[in-house]
Amino acid sequence: MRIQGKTWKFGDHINTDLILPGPVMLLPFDEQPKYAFQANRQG
Amino acid sequence: MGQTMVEKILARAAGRETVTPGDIVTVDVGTAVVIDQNFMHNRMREPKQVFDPDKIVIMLDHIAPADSPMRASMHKAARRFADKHGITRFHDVNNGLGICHQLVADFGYALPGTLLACVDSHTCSAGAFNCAARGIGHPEMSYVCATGQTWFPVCETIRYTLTGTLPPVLNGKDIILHIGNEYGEHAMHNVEFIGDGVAGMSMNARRTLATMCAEISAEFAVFEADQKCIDHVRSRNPDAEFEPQFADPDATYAAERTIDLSVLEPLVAYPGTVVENARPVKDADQHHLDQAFIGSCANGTLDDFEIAAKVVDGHKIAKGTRFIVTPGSQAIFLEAMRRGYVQTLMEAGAVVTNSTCGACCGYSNGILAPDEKCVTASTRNFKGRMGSPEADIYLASPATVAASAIRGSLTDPREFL
Repeated sequence: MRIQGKTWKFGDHINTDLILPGPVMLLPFDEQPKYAFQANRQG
Repeated sequence: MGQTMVEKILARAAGRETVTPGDIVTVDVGTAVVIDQNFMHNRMREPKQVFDPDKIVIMLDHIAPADSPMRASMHKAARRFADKHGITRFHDVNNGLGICHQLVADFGYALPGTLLACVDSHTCSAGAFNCAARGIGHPEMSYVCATGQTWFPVCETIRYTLTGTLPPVLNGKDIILHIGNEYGEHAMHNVEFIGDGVAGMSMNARRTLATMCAEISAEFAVFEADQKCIDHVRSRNPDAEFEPQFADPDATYAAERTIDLSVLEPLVAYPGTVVENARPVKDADQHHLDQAFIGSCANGTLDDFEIAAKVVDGHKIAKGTRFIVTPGSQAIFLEAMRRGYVQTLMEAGAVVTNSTCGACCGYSNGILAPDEKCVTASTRNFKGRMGSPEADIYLASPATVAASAIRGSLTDPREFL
């Protein structure tokens, strides 16, 4: 199987707020993915 | 071979004589704390019946009162769950409102020598009461509600002996920033606190320190139970049965460290983490601060209101700095009003909010905009924690936050006391 998409490589010390900011947890599930790693991803 | 406090509590909860680091143990949960977050997006996979309604407490705290139909539905689901399963210890918006770890302390739900579980990462707060307490995942809490059991790996323990007297202007927050600076993270380790220095600390100060052990990634953080601790629990939960656990004299530790509280000074953690990231407030950069916040499960206590009111008494908050104070519970709010702390803070220019997790987790009552800087006496300074990921969060004690609110920049509180 081949999957095409974007990847990000992160360093150490990835915390829970970087993975998914707290307030984003309040959003509906289908709106949450675009905020994952928003503070430290490359675009 | 002797056991540490945490090992003894885990052994008792597992029905075993002993446990050893490296074991994985299935344990009975003495108190299961369910919060509003459990009911978000139908996360709670509801059991047909709960293991024991008298061992479950429900608290609406992260967003209370509700601020949207979704959050209102979450609260409604919690009320229905409590009613259906006969859970009487239910802290609603109109009945004993407060932040879960504050209520666990104030109602004596954390029992010495027992195990407590909750989905929130700062559950280790209850360690101030010799209670092994830890955050667990949402699906696991559904399992706990059904069976009364969960599991933990047994980790090695680091023991801190606290000596001397903490200067009155300092707080448990300054102690954890010192520990984070000197010894770094404590991942896959328990932490225990003993010593004469503990005796001089209020239960609130102990709880701030226990709560903040989440920030150094400790597994469990437990204090030895002295008479002050036992009196606190007995006065609030007189019918509860418990047996404090003490470390054996020949217990084995990964490290044993001593901290003289009397020589500590006010510290501030720079944005991102408390691990190896703090410096003395007197040496901090003099950036303009857009916001100063006191609150959360770590610093929403009456002690915190008292010291903040003392610092700002007769002063005005700096122009261009918002000063927001959030009590740990409705009861603390009321008592802070009776004692005049709320009036002093508001006359200085502070906004005092309802009790909720609020600004600490970026949910309400003080969200940060891009490029803003905030000094906070709350739990966590991760990027994006309090709003915009482009905002900077500095973490310090309530006294430091109050002094910084007056000056509008990071300020050593000893200037005002």
